[in-house]
Amino acid sequence: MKKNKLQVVKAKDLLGRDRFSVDDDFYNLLIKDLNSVLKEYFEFRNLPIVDMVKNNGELNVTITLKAYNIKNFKALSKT
Amino acid sequence: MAKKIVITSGKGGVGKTTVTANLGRALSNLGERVLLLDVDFGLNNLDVVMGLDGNVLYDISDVIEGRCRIKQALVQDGAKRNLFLLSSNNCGINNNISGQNIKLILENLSPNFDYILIDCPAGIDIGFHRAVACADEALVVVTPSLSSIRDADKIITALNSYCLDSVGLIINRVRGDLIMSGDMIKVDDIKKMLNADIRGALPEEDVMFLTFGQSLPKSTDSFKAYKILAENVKNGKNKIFDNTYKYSGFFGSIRRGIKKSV
Repeated sequence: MKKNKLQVVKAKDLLGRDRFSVDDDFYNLLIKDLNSVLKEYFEFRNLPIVDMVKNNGELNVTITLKAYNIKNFKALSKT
Repeated sequence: MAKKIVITSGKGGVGKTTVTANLGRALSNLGERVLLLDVDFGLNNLDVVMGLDGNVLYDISDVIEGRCRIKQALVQDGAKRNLFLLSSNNCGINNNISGQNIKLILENLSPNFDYILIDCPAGIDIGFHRAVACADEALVVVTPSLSSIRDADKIITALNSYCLDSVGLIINRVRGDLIMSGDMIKVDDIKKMLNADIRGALPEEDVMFLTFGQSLPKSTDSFKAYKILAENVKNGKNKIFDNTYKYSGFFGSIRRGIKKSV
C-alpha cells in the first residue's frame, strides 16, 4: 500500500477514536438531561445508566433505567 | 458592512499568519477593502509577515484601553492602498481583553471595509474563543499531516457550536510531486475526512520563504493559488488550484525525479 493510503487509513482511525471519545462533562450533562426527561414518564430512585460501544464506525448507545412505576397519562390527539 | 472571517487552525505552525497576510493581499488585488486584525496577543507576528513591523505605533490594546482612536492604530500597507493592519500588543498575553471588546472595535470599523480577516492564535483556549466570537465565517488552515488534520477536526467541532455562516478549509503546504508519487495525503481525502468545503489548496514553494514580508511574484503558483482562494472567498465558490499539474505526464515524472534527487 502506498504511503498516502496508509496515512489516510491512520488518520481515519485517529479521527474515529477522537470523535467517539467523550469527557465527563458530556456524560454528566447527558445523564442530567435523560433524568429530567425520563422522570416525566417513570418513577425511579437511581439515575439512568448510559453505555456506549463503538461498532463498525457507528455507536451503539444503551440507556438502562430501573423504574418502579409508570407515570401514566393520556395525551390528547391532534385532530 | 465587512464580512468578518477568522483564520484558525488549532495546531501552531501551519501558516495561519502567512495565509492571513497573503489572502488579504489577494483580496485587495481584487479591489476589496481589507483589514487584517491580529488577535494573537503577546505572540503577534502579522505585522512582521506583512513587512509593516516598523510602522506600528499603536495596537488594539491601546484602542481598547483608550490611549488612541481606532483610526490611529490602523497601518496602511505600503504597496496597496486598500489594505490595512490592526496589530495586537507584543508585551504579554492580555487576558483582560474580551471578545466583546474586539467585537465593538470591529463593528466601528465594519462600514469602512469589505473584509476583516482575523488572525487567530493557535490552541483552543480563551484566545481562540475571543477571535471566533467576533467572526461571521471561519477558515481552518490545515497541512497534509496527521497531527494537523486531527487538530483541525477538533477545531471544526468547536466552531460548530458557534452560529457561523460557513466553515471552510484551506489546505496549506501541498506538494504536488509528493501527491503524484503517493507520499502525501490528497486534498480530496482531507476534504472527505474533515467533511468540510475546501476553499483553497496552497502549494509549498521556496518563494514563500524568499519573499517574506513582501507581495508574492505574479508568476508563481502560490500567487495563482491565493488568487483562486480570494475569488472563492469573494464569490462563495470552491474552485481548487491543481497543485499536481506540473508533475503529471512524461515531463512531470522527470520534474518529480529531479526534485526527489535534490
